Formats: sequence, structure tokens, C-alpha cells
Amino acid sequence: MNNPNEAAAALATVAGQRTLVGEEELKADGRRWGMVIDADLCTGCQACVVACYAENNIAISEENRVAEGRAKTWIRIERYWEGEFPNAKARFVPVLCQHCDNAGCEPVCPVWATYHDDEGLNVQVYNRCVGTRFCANGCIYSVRHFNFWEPEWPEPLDYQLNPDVTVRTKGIIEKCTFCVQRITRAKTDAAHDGRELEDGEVQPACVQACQTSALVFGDLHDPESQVAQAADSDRAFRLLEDSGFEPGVVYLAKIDPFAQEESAAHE
Amino acid sequence: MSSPERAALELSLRPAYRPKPLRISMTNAVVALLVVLGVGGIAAYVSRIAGDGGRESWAYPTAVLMVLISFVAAAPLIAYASRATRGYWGLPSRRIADLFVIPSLLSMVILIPVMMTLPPLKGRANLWFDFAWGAPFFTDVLALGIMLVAGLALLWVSLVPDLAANAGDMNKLPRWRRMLLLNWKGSVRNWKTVRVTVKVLGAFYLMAYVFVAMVLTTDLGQSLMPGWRSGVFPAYHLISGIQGGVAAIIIVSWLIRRFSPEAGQFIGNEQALNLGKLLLGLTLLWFYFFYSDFIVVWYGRKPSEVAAVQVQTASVYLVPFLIAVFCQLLIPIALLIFNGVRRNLNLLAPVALIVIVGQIFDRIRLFVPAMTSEDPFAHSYEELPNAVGPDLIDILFIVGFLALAALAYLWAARRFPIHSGWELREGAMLREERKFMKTEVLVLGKPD
Amino acid sequence: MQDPVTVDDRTVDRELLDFVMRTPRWFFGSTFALAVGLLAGVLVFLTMLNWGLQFLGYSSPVYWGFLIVNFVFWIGISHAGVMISAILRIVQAEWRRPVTRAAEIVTVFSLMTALMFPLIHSGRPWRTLYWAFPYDWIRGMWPNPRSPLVWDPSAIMTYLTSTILFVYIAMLPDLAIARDRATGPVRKTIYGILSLGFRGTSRQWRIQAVAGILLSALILPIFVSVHSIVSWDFAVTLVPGWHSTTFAPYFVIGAVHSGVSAVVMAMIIIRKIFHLQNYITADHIDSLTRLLIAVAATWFFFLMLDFFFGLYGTEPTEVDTWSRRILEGEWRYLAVIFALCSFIIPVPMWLFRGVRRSFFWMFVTTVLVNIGMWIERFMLIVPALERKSPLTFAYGDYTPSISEFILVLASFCMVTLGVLVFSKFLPLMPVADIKEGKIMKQEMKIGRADVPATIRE
Repeated sequence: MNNPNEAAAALATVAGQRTLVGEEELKADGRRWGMVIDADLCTGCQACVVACYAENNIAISEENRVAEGRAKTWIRIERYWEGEFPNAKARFVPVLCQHCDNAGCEPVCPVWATYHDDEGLNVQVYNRCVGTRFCANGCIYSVRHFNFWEPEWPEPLDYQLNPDVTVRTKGIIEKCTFCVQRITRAKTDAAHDGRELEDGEVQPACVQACQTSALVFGDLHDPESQVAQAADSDRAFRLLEDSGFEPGVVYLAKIDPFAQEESAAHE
Repeated sequence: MSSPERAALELSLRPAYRPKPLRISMTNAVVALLVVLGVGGIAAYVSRIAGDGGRESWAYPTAVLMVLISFVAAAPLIAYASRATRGYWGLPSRRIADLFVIPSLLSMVILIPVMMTLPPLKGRANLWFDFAWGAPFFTDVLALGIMLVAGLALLWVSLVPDLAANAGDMNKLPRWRRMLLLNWKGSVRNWKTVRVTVKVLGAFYLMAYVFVAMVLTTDLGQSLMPGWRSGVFPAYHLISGIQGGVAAIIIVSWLIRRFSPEAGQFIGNEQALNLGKLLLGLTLLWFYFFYSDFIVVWYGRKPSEVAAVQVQTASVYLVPFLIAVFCQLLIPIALLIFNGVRRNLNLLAPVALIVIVGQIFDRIRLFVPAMTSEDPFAHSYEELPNAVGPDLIDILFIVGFLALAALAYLWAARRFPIHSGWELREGAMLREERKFMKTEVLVLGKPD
Repeated sequence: MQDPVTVDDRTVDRELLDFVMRTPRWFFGSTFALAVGLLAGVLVFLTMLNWGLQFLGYSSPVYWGFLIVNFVFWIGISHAGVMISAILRIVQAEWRRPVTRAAEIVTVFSLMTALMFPLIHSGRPWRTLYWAFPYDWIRGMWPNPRSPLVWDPSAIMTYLTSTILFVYIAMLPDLAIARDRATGPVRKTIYGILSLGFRGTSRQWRIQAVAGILLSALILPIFVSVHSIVSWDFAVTLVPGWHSTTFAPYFVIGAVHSGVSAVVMAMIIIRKIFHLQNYITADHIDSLTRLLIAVAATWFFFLMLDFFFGLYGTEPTEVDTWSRRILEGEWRYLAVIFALCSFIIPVPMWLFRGVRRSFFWMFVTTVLVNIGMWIERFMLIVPALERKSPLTFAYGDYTPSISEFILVLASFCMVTLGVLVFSKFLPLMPVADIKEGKIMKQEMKIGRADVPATIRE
């Protein structure tokens, strides 16, 4: 097909057909979607950030937006420096919406635009959001972003928009959804084919793009899934655990075999 | 229009009204019972001192201490409020309230051994910023001492005109007695000074009391319990203390009216109505302060804070909490919303007694878990502790010290005039009934 | 205790209804200027509707700034109404009489203004307007009752409704006087309808008085709950510096502090421009200021509680917020100005009788208090958000923009315009109340002294 719009239209038709599956079949099965991020494997390459941008129709943040502090990245790589020159080290911590079980953002939305679904996802309903930004204040990880301006994609960038994801208007909050469109697509496909979802079948964009496989996604309640086995580690910790938010993202601490000697040298 | 008692209005007509102390017979059965209980309390105190129980054994005595700081020490604040706002209804209540500083002296007796059992400050949350000069022992004892001295000074100054009136001819008294009566001559300057001093000392007592509440509730409560962090708690303690103070004044007013006709003739409808309104208002305020503490912790769901609330309110000390809520909130509100209850001292007194009982349980549920916490240096409870019940000595302590407080008050009422004669007389001079159009109205003078 | 109103009833009517009956020249000029200010605010709002919130100073994570500060500030000012008219009426303080109507009107307009701000600062105000209302407009979706932003409109609307009712009932006798004195058929008809046939019979007076007393008592819990609910917008989150149990009583007392100061300031201005020297005397300002001293001291106590217990647990983010508010950080100069303006300069000055009775000094000090309290709201809200999370990549900065300054200015214009236009059509001084005060005024002879007295209500 030459015309990209025709291709998109054809895909949409297929997608439309695929959604004609009953709700019963799409129901959760005690599932809890979660992610394990191995800080030891993360190189800080920001491929996940770019993939997320591409997948989720995130608005282009130009220089002036970054200077204003309004750059939108649903996942950001936090880089912490340890030590001093010549032994300075960078530690990379990708931070995205933690999809907390006990989220601080959920009870405060006046219009129910954000809620916890029964699969452990923290859902953001764009067309319900009125933009009071109370949820953004309630999130201690600061992963919620507000659309301060009406996003624009000058040609031909508008061809790259993902038809599965809403293009958000100004004045509402958005955040990482664990690529809920991919989750729903996978569930629909599985229901259509009359089978169970397989472990690893659902891969959010960031997980898919990570070159070192530092990000693992899956069902934390399934003891045989990759993610549950990865989470069951001595190195596991969660961000800001004292808050009681019960995040759904487990981090694995970086292993630094030279740590001991360094501190001896510095003392 | 609520009627002040006829006696109060006519007071200004009587020449040289001399207020008298109450005639309390020490052979009265109730007094004898109080003495027996008081001796039991002293025995419990000695037993605690002699024993080597450490901080946990002083848990219930701390609750008693905080009860004494609550309603007993807060009563003089009602007198100050009445003086500062020139509320005529409070005139008979002023000396009744001021006298409560005598029983509150017992708090110092308990405070000192309790402070000696506290662990060092370093490593746990505290208000003192690692203040090196003896905090918290010296600072708390000093604060309480200053408050008690201020209260005693207030009582002393407000007693001087009455005692001087009863002393007869001042020149015939020995010098030391004249000095005790501050060389009172009854001149215009004397009167001006006593009026201003009483107000200033009242304000100072208020400031000292607020400081003591903040410091003692933190050092004996919040600093000892992991995860308990509440800025409004001193204010909550303050307001519930004042609520108890009003309740205490109601009870004493009722007792006076019931058992002493000559003193009781000044207490009537007007006092009941206003004290009842105050009690209702303070009960609602109790709920407000409790709720503003509760909602922030409950909504925020921070595990360390939630654990602390679970210990004090929701699960471990649930029974004392429920008793406290019923007695300090639900029953008083249910009864005090009725005008008939508020107007009648005979109905107000049982409500006031219920409030005080509730307050005792409230202090138990707040301070016993703090004093019995295993690890005050922890950031948060790892698991909920078990409730610590009172043993026999604790019960004897509670009952005994309350009896001692009552005995101290009785001694003071026997020794000093129960009504502030000079203020009553002044109030009477500033009130009169007049014919106005077709009716009679009460006219109140409002000098600057 | 106050200088008695010595003029007779007809003069009272004439002087107090003067502004209603005739329009001085300065009215048009000032109304125009205020309307221009308000219009500027409306224009800014329209740009926000069109281009989103990008011209405001917000960024991640400081998503609430000047507009919410302004909201809290105006809710605070609105507390003066109940404090003065309801509470002072319940304790039967005679010196409330000239002040009650102005306080209540300032309350009504500041509540209306305050309500605007959560609407205009939200991303999609055209939806916020009706989706926060307790009705399932769209697809059976009700608003979220767990959210403090849903408790807010309920509380504020309740407060607004009851204050309007309160003002109206207290105003009935004055509307009747205006009806009787009005010339021109249109005015007479309108005042006639508004005064609901009030003729001053003893039955009507009794009903009016009882209604006023009942409303005074019923409005008290609303008064306490409104600002507490607004404070819980902040206290229920885990933002360090916001997560404090003192917020509810602290905000309420702060509201009374700033509100009563604002009313004193308004009264001094009103006295000047409407020539009400006979009715608002130094005694009234003196008594109001004594109340202010007690309120300011209580407010300071709660501020100290907030401060000490904020630092109490030595949690790093909390300590950091306080140190940024006061010691280091860009906001420390503001903190100094705040401390000086809200407490350190005014309150010790108020301890002196000469200052309390001087209209000039009271005006200066109350203006200082209002500036200080606005800054206090700002210090409470914004620095805490800037370093909300211990994750350093979430740090942000806040720089207020011109649009926000214009919006804040427009809110001041709106309230002033509201009060001014109101006073054009309805009397700003409670005429009947003042006449009642004249009747209640008595004198007693005690010995050789003449003591002022009042009849007890």
C-alpha cells in the first residue's frame, strides 16, 4: 500500500474486528501487572524514553519546554553520581508510574479520572480528567504530567501517531499506563484465539526497546512468570517504600564489586 | 433573659460583704472515704518509687499526671476567660476555678519520678533539637513549676481582698500576716492594681499552661511512641483539658449549691446556662481537633502513622477509646443539645461527671501505650503491641490520686472563701434591674 | 463603652442611606477603574482557555501556585463575616453593630471570588464547572466523594448560601427603611419586593431576631468546617510540609486573623469615603483590635506548633521544606517579610492603646497583616511542592508569571467592585441595628461615676 492513511485504515478495521470479543473473556484472572527494573543492567541509554514517546503519542517537548520544567516524559532516567573524580560513577534509575496498590493519586481526583483497576493498573481516563492536578500533587514520584499546551505534530510527524492511543488535548493529566493498549490488544487476541495470555506476550514499549533487557514486565501474581521470579531477589527494593503506597515496580539494586575498595581508598 | 440569682443582684446593697469558706465536716462519711482512698494512693505511689519497674510501671501514673494537667490545671483558665471578656455569668465560678491550682500541685509530685524513667533524647524524635541543658527533665519540671507558681500567685492575689475583708482591722495583725495580705489597704490604687494583676497573671498562666501542655504531651507521649507525629495533639490536649475544666467547675458548682445554702445562693440559672453552652461548644471542639488529627493520618495512609493510630484508637486500646468517645463526645452532645439540660445544674452535673470519666480513659489510651512502648527509638511499629492493663497498684494509684486531688480541693475550700467576694460585689454594682418601656430589663455596666 | 450615636433617628436614616440615594462623582470613576482591572483578569482567563495554562508559572512538580494561594486567601478573608456578625452577636458584644453588614458583604463577595479560582486554574474549566457537582451528568459518573476537591464546593456553597441568607435576614429592616425613603417608582417597587413586606410589627421583629440568632448558631460549624476542608486539600497528601495535622485549626485561625484585619481595613476606608465618622468610632476599632490580638496570638501558637512538629521527626524532606521556607532557598526573604508583616510589626503595636485608637495606624497595620497573610499562604503551598519528592530529578522551580499577577489583582478588583456596587443599592451600614444600639445604650450611676451600660439582650 502506498498511502499510509489507507494502511492505517486497514489496520483499524482489523483492530475493530478484533475488539468484537465479549467482556467475560477479557476479565482479569487475579492478575497483577508489574515490572522489574534491574538497575545493574540499565545503561542509561534512554531507548525506553524514546520508545515510550513513539508508542504513546507524547507531545514533542522542545528546548523551551524543557527549560520551563514542563518536558513530558512518561518514563525518565534518573542519573545519580556517586563518588568523585576520577572515581565518579553514574547510577541510572528509570522512574515511571509505579502503579501503586495504595496510590496517593487515586482518592484525590474529584471526578474519578484515575482509579485502580482489578489488574493492578493505575488507570488514567483522559476524557474524564478536568485538570485540577490534585493527583499530580499526591504522587510522590512526580510521574504525572500535565498538558500545558495543545500538542502539535508538524507534518510529516503526524503520520507516526499510534492509532491505538488517544491523542490528548491540553488541560489534562497523563502518565505511564504500562502501555494499556498493548495489554488490551494482547488480551483481545488471546480471547479471540481462545487461549490464555502467555508470559512475556505483553511488552510495553519501554520493555520492548530496552537493549539490555533491564526491564521485565508481566504478572507479579503468577509465580512462574519472569517478572515474579526476577522480583524474588535479594537485591529487590521499591522506591520510597516508607510512604506505604505499595508500588507495583520492583527495582533490583546495582551490584558494585569495587564499592568496598573505593571507600577504603577515600577514607 | 436568664435570671442571675437574686442574691447576686442584691449583694451590692449589703454593707461589707465578707465571703466565708465552706464548712466541711471532716467527719463526713464521704470525706472519710476520700481520705482512705488518698492513703491508698500514697501507698501506691510509694510502692512505685520503691519498686524497680522502670518506665512501664509508671505508665498509668503518667496517665493520672496528664489527667491532672488536663482538667484540674485547666480550670483556672475558665476564670481567666471570664475576667478577660468581662463575662458576668462567670463571677461565682472565678474562685471555684482559681482554687483548682491547689490539687494541680500533685502533678509535680508525679512528674519528677516519671521524668527520671525516660530514656535519653538522642536517637528519637523530640522537640528539643538535642538541647544539651538537661532536656527533657529540667525543662519539663521547670515549665510545670513556673505554671504552678503562676497559678498560686494568681490565687494569692485574687484572695487578698477577701482575706483582708475577713481579717478585720489590718493594723491589729502581726507584720508577717500583713505582708501575706500584701499590705492591703483597700485604696483606689490597691483595687486598680489587683484588677490588672489578676488579668496579667491569668494571661501568664494561660501561656505557661499552653507551653506545659505542648512540652509534657510530647515528652511523655509523642516522643516515646514510634510513628506518632501529630502537630495538633498539644492543641487537642489543651481543648479537651479545658472541656474537662468546665466540667469540673460544673460539678463543684453543683456540690456547692446542693450542700451549702449560703454559698450556693449565688449560683443559679445564669451560671448553668453559660457553663452548659461552654461545655457543648468545647465538646464540639473536642471532636473537631480529634478529627483534624485523625483524617490526616487516615487519608495519608503512611504506615508508621497508621500503626500509631491503630495502637491508640483503632485496635489495641480500642476499649478505652470507645469509652472516651462515648463519654467525652456522644453522650454530652446527645444531652447538651437540649436547652432543658443546659439550664439545670442538677442535669448538667452528671453530664460533667461523664465527661471527666471519659477524659480519664482518653488519657489512658493516649499515654499508656507511649510509656509502655518497647522501643522508643524505632521509626515505626513493626507489629502492634498488646494492650497493657492496669494492675492493682495502678488502679489504686488512679483512684487514690483523684481522691487526693479532691481532698486538696476540699482543704482549700475549707481554708479560703469559695466565692470571690470582691468580684461578686463589683459585678453586683455593675448590674441593675430597670424598668424599660413595659418590661423590666437587666442593665449591665461596661466600664472601660 | 462606645461613644453613643448622638443623632436622632431621621438623621441616622438620612446619613446611612445617603450613598444609596445619591451617587457622588467618584463612584463612576472608581467603578470604571475596577472594572478595567476585572476585565484584564477575564482576558487572561480567555487566553488560558485558548492556549492552555502554558503562560502561567507552573511546571512539574509545582502544579499549584498563585491561583490556589489566592483561593485560600479569599476563603480566609471570608471568615471575618461569621466571626464578626455571628460570634459577636452570640456573645452580645455591642461594638459589633456598625461592622456586621460590611463584614458579611465582604464575605459574600470574597467567597464568590474564591470559588472562581479552582475553576479557572483547572485544565478544562468548562467541564470542572458541572462535573464536580453532585449529579451523574455523563454516563452515570458521580464525582468522587473521597476527594477534598469535592468537599470544597459543598462547604463553600453552603457557607455562601447561609451567609447570603444571614445578610438578607439582617437586612430586611434596612430594606424596609430604603423602601420607605425611596423616591421613584422603580426603586420603591424593587425595595418593596425585597423587603418582603416588613413593617416593624412586634411579631415580625421577633421572627427576624430569632431567625438571626438561629442562623448565627447554625453558621458556626460551617465557619469552622469550610477552611478546615480547604486545608485538607493540602493535608491529606504526603507532600512534606503539607502533611501536618495542625492544618485545619491553623488555617481557620489564620483566616480569622486575615479576615478581621481585612474588615478593619475596609471599615476605615468606608468611614472615610462615606463620611461615617459618627457611626464608626475609635472605640469600635479598639475593640476589634483587642479581638485581633487574641486571634493573632492563637494563630502564632498554631504556627509554632506547625513549625516545631514539622521539624520534630527530622524527616529529611520535611526539614528541607522548612529550611527552604526560612533559612536558605529563594524564599527566605519572603519569609522575613511574612513574619514582619503578619505578626512582628502589627501585634506589638496593637498592644498600645494609642495605636488601637488611631485610624491611620490601624489602617497601616491591617494592610501589613493582609500582605503578610497572603505571603503566608504562598509560603505554605509552593516551597513544599518544589522539593516534594526525595527523587532529585523531580525537583522543580516556580516563577510566577504576569498572567498570575493580573489574575490576583483582578480578584481584588472583583471583591472591591462587588462591595462598591452593593453599597450603591443597599445600605452598607445596618441602619436598624445601629438604631437598636442607640436604644440599648444606657448609663448607670455608681457612686460618683457615670458608667456606660447596655441592656442585656
